Amino acid sequence: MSKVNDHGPQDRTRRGTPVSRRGFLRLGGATAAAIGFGGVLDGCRADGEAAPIQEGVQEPQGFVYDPAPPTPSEPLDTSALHFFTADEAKTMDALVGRILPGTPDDPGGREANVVGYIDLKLGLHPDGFAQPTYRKPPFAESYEGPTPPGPNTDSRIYVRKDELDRYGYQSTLNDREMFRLGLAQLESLAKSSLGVGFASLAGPQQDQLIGQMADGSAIGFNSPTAKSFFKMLMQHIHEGFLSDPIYGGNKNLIGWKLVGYPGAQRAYTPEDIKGLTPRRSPRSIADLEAVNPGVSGGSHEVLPVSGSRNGNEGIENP
Amino acid sequence: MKTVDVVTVGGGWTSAIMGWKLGAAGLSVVALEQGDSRYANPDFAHNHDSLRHSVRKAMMVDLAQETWTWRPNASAPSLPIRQYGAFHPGAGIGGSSMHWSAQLWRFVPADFEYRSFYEDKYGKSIIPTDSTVQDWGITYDELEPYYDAFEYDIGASGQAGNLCGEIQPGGNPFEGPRSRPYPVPPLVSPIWNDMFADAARHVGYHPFPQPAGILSRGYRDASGRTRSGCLYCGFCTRFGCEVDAKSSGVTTHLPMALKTANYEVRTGAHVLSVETDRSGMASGVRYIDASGNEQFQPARIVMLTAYTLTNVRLLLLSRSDRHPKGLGNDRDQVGRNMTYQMYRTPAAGIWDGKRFNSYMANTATMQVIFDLYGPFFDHSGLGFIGGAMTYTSPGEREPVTSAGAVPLDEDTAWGPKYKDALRKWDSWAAIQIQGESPAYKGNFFDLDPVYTDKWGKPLLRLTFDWTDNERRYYAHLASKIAAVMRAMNPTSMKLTPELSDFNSHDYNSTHITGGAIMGTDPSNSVTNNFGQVWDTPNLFVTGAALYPQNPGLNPTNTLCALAYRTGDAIVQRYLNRTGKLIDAPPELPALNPAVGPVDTAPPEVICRIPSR
Repeated sequence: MSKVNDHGPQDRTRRGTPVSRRGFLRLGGATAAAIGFGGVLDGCRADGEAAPIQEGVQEPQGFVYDPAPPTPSEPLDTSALHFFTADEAKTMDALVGRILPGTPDDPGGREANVVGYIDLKLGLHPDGFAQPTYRKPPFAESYEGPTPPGPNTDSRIYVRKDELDRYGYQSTLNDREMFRLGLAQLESLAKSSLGVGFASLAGPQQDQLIGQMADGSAIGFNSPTAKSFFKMLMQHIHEGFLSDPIYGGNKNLIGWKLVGYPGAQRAYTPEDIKGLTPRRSPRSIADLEAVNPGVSGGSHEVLPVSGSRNGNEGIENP
Repeated sequence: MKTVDVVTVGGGWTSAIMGWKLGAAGLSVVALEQGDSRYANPDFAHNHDSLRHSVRKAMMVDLAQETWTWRPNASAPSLPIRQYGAFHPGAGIGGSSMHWSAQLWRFVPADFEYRSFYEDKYGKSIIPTDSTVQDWGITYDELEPYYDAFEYDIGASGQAGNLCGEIQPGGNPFEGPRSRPYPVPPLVSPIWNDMFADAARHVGYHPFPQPAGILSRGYRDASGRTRSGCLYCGFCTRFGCEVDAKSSGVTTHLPMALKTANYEVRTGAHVLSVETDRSGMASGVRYIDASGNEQFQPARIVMLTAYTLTNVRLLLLSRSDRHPKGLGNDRDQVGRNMTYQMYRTPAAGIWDGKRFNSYMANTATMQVIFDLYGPFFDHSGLGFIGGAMTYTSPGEREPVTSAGAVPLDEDTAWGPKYKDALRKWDSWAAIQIQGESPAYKGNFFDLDPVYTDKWGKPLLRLTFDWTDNERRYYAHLASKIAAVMRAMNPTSMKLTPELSDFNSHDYNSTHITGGAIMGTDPSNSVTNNFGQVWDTPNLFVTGAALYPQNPGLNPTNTLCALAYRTGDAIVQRYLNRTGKLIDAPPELPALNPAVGPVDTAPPEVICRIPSR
């Protein structure tokens, strides 16, 4: 008896929602035809043959990509939100507009639909977590001063405030709560210190509050703290700006064009790596050609399952 | 359930090696794998998705079910690692080898004789007082034939630097002698790596291409499959390889294990404990199957072939009257010599107007120097032991995980300056180190007193921090590396001259080692150099838990070579004396009577390594 008793995928899509192998077209706006089953690997000669060593940096040909197409800075459509309230979405829109600013000709976070990405991600995951997260209590309580307020027990763990950062994510709040409470705290701060909601403030005033969140000096942030809210906000902005557009952000590949990244490609040659070939235009996974066109998948074609002996003829035993 | 000859906890690379070696000898082998099965075709066919793999950790163990706790020292509280940070163990057949970077190192001869090397060269006082570094109890020369066999079985790529004692141009002149050249030439060297190599040569160092478990061209491996060379697609570490160019437990050894018709993998199986019989010998493994039912798989040999942390935790969890402190722990050896590695970037630079194509290729396309590796520079008067493998930024830079890494000042964290910094995302590069982690009394594993897994069992607790020794060696290396960076004349430079605190959230490599270390006798180790547990001789441990301390090199080649050696020894020397130690521990009463050594038949070699 020789086999892989495969009990099936436990949850293959958990960390990839909305993308699964078959389902990634669902929310991506791409069509099956766009996958291009007729393609062959372009110029793929990956034989490791050493190319001549370059003297210093070669400036690759075609240095800059086609710039991102002009993308209008339209007001956020608050009629089709998955998680944020309309007011929260407006605050987020304003935040993203200052953190990754853009214009139609040099688009940034708003133009790339970063807020739409974050809203969809939070909407798709019941607790807002898209990655595996351990949520068992007790959650750490921080303290300042020489001694903790009490002994550590099975239900209470005290950690010195200046040491807590070393332990990574330890919040009682999940990502949804983090956004909901963080945005509410920002809104109260804007109203109490500057008289109006964050979205209605002038740009420089918005910058002032963003700076206070970034350096932790923003008043009234308790749970989450200003710093942890800002850190999580930046992580989500990176994701929405720079991950594959099938997740709803990076519209028109704006993020990838800004940094100079061609996205999903099947192969590069040694000449590509050495900078001797023209640069490629970026593309999404949705436009990635098949590895083996015409070959249907299936683990049984690679290795046997449940006692099948197919596929292993000719293997020498030690 | 029917008794099998061997049960392995985990269905990763060393399990497949055992399935092949022991299955071919006629033993029935069952592997219990907590994850599921996945193959290049079709599972990795459309996986060029950084968000899913690098951010959301699609191929890793599910932390929601089981994680680890960490504290910097024994008087600090421990907290669970609630989201992935410092390390990334994989789940599923092939284990972490499916998503590894495939940097394929042999440890150097001095790594195996660590304490002796430093004491002989500099005197005993060079070892920090609370350090517990020790020799492995095995030498490079003993392991060389197994390194060689493994490298040829998978098709390792690289440039030999020491062939049978002769230094070879273009390779690593500091490596131990190898009996044959690499079967496959090195991977391509990207633009920035060539720049670094030129600068390193200019200051007198010896750069060479990173050896890799990634095929640089087509190769017929030991399983008989002809696999493709690397397509340099830029989705490698944390991804499965869609063309099987990256060797793993599934590319080569799983097919060979299945071919024996004696190897079975059960996926979705979560092991709870190793059970023992009245005599204290291992009798099998208790686990939760994929349907959620508890099962007991009886076996004549139990092998812990999972990740370091899982192996150590199972030893501690498996308590019985005969082993009240856990298996292998009769002499309080389990958990000690927990070591790690130092994964840092002492120097980074930006070259305005340049593009390095750093998103192409993989994380083994890099140039390396060993001139700053522990055994290869003079430590007289420096006040520390150790050093680091020093290397360049590799390929496979993904924007979603590196947007904040452009080495500019703090005030560029957001706003127009930040957006401009992103425009330089492909114009910067770094010189990095993977440093040694000597062992200390204060760094160890035990069971957490508070936090538990999904099944109510205590989590493993890591107590670990850097010491002054590491701070000193980091500062020394950082100054040398800064000089190389200056010689490269970047537009701007970011230097990090001092070692920052250890934390559990910044990635620091998945190379956590030790906790079930090998050694010469039961007073200094958990196992002999076959991974056979001293106090339970039908229990074996594979993997990096066996390492007494961690060299500054990736662990996989060595742990696979050790698994080859153990597999052979079980077939040739254990099976006719089951339940007994393969070798008697010297100068201590053996726990069991032992026979004298029987010659094993190492793989055929072309030349004989000169003994030193």
